[in-house]
Amino acid sequence: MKWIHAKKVFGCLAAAALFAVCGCGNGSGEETAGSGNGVDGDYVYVAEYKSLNDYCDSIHALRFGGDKLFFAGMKEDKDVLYSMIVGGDDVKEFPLELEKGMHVNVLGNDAEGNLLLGMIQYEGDPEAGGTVKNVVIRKCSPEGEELETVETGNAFAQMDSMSFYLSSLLQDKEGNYYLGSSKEVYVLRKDGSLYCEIPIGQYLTNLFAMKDGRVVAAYYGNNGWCLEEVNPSQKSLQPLASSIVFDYGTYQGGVDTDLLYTQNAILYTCNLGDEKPTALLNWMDSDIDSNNLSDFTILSDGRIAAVTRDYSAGATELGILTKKDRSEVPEKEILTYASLYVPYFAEKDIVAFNKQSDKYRIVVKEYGDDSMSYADRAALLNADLTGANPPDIIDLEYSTLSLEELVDAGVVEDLSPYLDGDTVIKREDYVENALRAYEWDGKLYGIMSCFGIQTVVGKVSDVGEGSTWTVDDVLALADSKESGVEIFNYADRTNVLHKMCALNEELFIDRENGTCDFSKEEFYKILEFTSRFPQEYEYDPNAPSEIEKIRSGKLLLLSEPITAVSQYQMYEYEFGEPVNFIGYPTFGKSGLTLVPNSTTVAMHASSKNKEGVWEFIRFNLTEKRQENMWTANAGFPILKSALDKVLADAMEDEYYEDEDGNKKLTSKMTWTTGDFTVEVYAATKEQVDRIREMIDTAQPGGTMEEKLYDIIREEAQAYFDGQKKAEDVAALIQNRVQTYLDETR
Amino acid sequence: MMEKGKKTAGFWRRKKQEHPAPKIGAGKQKSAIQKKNAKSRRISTAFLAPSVLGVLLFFVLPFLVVFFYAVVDNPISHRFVFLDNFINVFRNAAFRQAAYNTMKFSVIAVPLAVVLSLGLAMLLDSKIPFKSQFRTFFLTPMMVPIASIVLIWQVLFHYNGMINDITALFGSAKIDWLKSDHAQVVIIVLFLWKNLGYNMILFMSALGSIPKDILEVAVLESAKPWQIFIHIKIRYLSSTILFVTIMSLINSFKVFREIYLLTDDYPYNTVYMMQHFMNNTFGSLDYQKLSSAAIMMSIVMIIIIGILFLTENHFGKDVEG
Amino acid sequence: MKIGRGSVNRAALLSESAYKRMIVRKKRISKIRRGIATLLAASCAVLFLMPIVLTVTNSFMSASEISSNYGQVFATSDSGGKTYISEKVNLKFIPDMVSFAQYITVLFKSPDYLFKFWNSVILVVPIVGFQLLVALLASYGFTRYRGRIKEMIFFAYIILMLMPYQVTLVPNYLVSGWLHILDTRWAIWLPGIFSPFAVYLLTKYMRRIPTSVMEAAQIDGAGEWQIFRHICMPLCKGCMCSVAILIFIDYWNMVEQPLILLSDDSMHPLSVFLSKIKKGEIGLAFAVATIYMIPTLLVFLYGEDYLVEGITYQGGIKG
Repeated sequence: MKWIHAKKVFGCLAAAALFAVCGCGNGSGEETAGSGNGVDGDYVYVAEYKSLNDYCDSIHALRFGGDKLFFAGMKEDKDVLYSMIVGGDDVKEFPLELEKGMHVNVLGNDAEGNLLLGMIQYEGDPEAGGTVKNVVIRKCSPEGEELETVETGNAFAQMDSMSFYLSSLLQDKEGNYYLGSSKEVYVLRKDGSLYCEIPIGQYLTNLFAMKDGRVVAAYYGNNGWCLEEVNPSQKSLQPLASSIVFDYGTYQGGVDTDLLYTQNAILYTCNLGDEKPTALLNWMDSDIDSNNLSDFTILSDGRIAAVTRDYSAGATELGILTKKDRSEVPEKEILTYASLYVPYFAEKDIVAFNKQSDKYRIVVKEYGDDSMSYADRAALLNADLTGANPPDIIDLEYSTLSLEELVDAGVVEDLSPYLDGDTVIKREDYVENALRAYEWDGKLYGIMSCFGIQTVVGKVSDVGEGSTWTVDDVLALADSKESGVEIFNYADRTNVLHKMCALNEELFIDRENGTCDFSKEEFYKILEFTSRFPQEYEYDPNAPSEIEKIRSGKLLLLSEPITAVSQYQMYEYEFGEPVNFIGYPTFGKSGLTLVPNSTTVAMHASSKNKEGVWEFIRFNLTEKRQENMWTANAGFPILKSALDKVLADAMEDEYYEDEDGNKKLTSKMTWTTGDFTVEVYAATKEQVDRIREMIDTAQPGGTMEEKLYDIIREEAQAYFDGQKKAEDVAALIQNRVQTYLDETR
Repeated sequence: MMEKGKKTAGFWRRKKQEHPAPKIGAGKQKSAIQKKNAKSRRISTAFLAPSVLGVLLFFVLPFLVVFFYAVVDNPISHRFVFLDNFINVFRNAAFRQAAYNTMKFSVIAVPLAVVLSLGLAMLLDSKIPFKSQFRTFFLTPMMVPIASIVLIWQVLFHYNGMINDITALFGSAKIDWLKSDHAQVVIIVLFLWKNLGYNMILFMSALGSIPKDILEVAVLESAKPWQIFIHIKIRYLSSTILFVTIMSLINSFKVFREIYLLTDDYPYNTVYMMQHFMNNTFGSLDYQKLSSAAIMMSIVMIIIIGILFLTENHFGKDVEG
Repeated sequence: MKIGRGSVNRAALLSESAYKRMIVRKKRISKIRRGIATLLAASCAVLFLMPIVLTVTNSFMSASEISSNYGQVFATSDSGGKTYISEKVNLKFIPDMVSFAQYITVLFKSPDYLFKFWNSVILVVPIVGFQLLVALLASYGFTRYRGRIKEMIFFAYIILMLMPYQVTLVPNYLVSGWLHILDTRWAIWLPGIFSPFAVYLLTKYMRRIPTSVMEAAQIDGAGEWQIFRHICMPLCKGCMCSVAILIFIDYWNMVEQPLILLSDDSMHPLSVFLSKIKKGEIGLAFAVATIYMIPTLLVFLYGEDYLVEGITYQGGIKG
């Protein structure tokens, strides 16, 4: 009797297990790309591309008007203006007679759909020290017929050519012109005379008219993204009232709605009175990098047209997006890319990969949204990593788990066999130090495609010419200056403590044996050092600029990443004398860290499409991509030959031929920060050698697990507040960190 | 069989009547009844089916998955490693710390919860005014949302909290309650505060079911209150005590959410509980450790519950039907 | 089986005067005792009531007052870690200025909270109802004809009931995935409905119903269903209520399951919000908490007596 019962129980169990297994077999539910962001996943917009570079050498301005695209640029050193019916091959060149030195700067529309040309005439070298001579607005019919030309008189004359440019131009129903410049909105009367100037104080992103005619300025303000109506009668800006939260993005007036805008790679349309915007599409689904969007519109037949401009590659493309049922679209193998956030460079890399690959398509899966806490989002991602349908690609930059945890869980695949067995790329061609960053136990789990060096820079006269220094050195330096001198820029205790702990981790933590010892003089030193910094860095808009502080000796050091040789010249200019990238203070070793500055991913160990994942990783490591790395990412390429090229290029002088055919030295590039602009010329051999030395000596990583650091930060605060002694704080940290270390063993 | 009691106490032990068992109808109908019994036995067992199926699917199957994870090397490659994970976890200092703390917590908190709630129940059982209001008050901790609980405990026991303010009045030094050897006290207080009310209710209803006449007789026989307590009340409450113990044990695992929000992933080592260990290994995808720890914990639990069951069978039967 | 009545005859053996004397003495002592007991109970009650009072009174504070009082308690680092409380914190019971702003925001301005409240209801009510139903059936099965197999299964139920959620959460996630109920409410409902907790409580209760009661019915020709429906269920009414209250409280406050099993946070119940108050939201937390307590409070007020009577079987069958 007993036996029979027992058998029944097992029968039930087996049935349940079978049920589960059957369920498992069917469990191939693919994520639709649009899921979770409101985009209808059944449809996809398929893009056809057309390069606009075929028509002219460079494009300066473009604008959709109805179903037409207008663009202005230079062809054979002559200003040209074209109109193209979107979707057609027919391109019409409009006659454009311009005075010498006058160029089309911006295109705009008036309320009737006519085209506006905003033109600036410069005097002198517009790249350096030139001034504005005249600004002219010309109105053309969509067919290219010149309707009127308005002179602005001398409203803008004598403006500095570097800071004055036109970003937007439009005309309202009353005939007033609105000009958007770098940080100002100008309203001109119908005759071109200046009516008022409304300063914004921030860089204006765009100025556009909504369908009801109201003119809106979009910019990123101190408290986040702002959409504000330009009110000419009060000569001021007023926030738009809407229950929709607008965040960083690209905004335009809608075709049938108030607004058409792109935010987080999604194209939305909405009326201000709506509760929620309508999501139309995800640009990434159509292989369009939303960071490059220049202008977009909805055509009268419902298709969507967009122009993307890749400034670095100088490529301008028109994409026409047709809505298609997902089933009509040729199937590609889907690779899911798991991340909490999509870094902007990942978006670029994924779009570029998808566009060139006939076989694979990477679909991003973001976990949760901004309304959820980090921990909740991490829990979602983690659950999926070991779930039935794991993602193929794991973003390591925004990984919720440390590499060690990922490896221990068996989630990530060793890339060594792929790298060593690859026929196109070779391991020895890549910078070893950067490869080491994602190595664990002799296996390779991720490869950054480009990197920067996190360091501290100061005057040679302050920090000396050495390559390392200690906390005592820094404190001595600070003490030798008058009181009130800032040590680092934008530094607060949290980031200084993190950096110091991460860099000097092995002094306190012995991972090999799973022990730690925080009751050390060095740790007390770090605490003392950190306590010198403000609790929270408070941005003071009235404070002197960084450069003023440095030059007046109020700020000693900058804690910054180095991503290009040219930064040498930028910092030398900023500090006003030779600089040394000495790094963070340490107790003996290098205080430089090598940080990834690019899409860095791992391959999921149970991905069904490992070849595809490797293809994506390799795609970013190929010579062609590496040599143009800075187009998508910022930093030094990991490919040695590409790096050599970057370093060699940095030492080359650049020349241009002036009108008389003389070769003249010109700047290679300019670095502009908020306060100043530096012309960069060729770097010296010493500088390049120092950069090389830094790349070779920097420690990969340089971060500490959040959980570990959270313990230190929380306890150390009691010391900073003067409520506990350093010894007591160290003992508490010791106690809790020990538990952490014990657990991970 | 019920008359095995000691002589001295015997007079107020009630003689238990044997059940008027179905034996009465024995005799020639026996076989028919047996047949009927077999049928109804099957039917009554069928009542179990929905629950058993559901439990198999949503509790046993997951538990088997846990078991599976406990004997493979990681959740992705599924390589069988037999006992390696168990050995690893058993050697893990954090696991041992957690096991020790959890045991210590249960050993102190659960009996304390039983004793104190019994005390409270007796207190309310004595004839005091506003009895039912008090009863309601003691139950309120069950409904307070977690946010308020965490806030209050944090404010009370933090280094800069109110308790230290109060003790400072008496000149004692500040203590960082949650980060010192006193930390367990704090969580025990929290546990008691949350659970005493319900336990008290359980005891009150049990106290209410003690036959009044027995107590009256005891009083008239000049039995001392402690004698009444030991010999009557405890006897009658014995099964409730076991029940409360089990409920407290369950709740001692549930109070973890508060402990966790009050402390952190890695708290001071004296409050690092088994659930911290499990929560953290869960968070870091270390399912092998999580699963083997869970299996070990279940084994301990099986032993404890088994003992409680045996005890109940031993004591429980002579007061109940 | 006359439990309530019985042998008072011993009292009759005492002389009447002695009896009276005893009563008087007892009364005097009990007066003092009563005073002390009341005082003790009252002081305990204050401690027990404090959090609920605090929650309610604080819900009438303005958001700015709350965040200046307790903001630092709920501050977290970017990665969600705790932060050290640098300044003195005190509980504040009386608002500086009574304000209904929290309630207005929660009830009218941001519909999110009411949605979440509704989510809670949708998630919890079916669980309570069906868990009771399934458990009633199962407990009846466990009660009738106890055999060794049943005892073992019952024992297994208890062990499963005691498992901390961390243990079963991952496998639950997997099983839900296999069953294709992940990210749907079923992922919460089904494990909830089949939870062994109610089975344990109800079985404990039912087993105290004298077997004779059911056997008598059986002899009278009642089938199992009839015994269950007409004998067992009416007797268990009180217990059902009290178990329902316990289940309700348990699931009304659930946090972890929805977090993991429902990735779409528009389905999350309010309890999830309440367990993860961020610094920025604390201003509303108390009003939300108070509103969230109302159903529990109602359930308590309605069912408290059942709670007291329900758990232990107290007869009702005389003889």
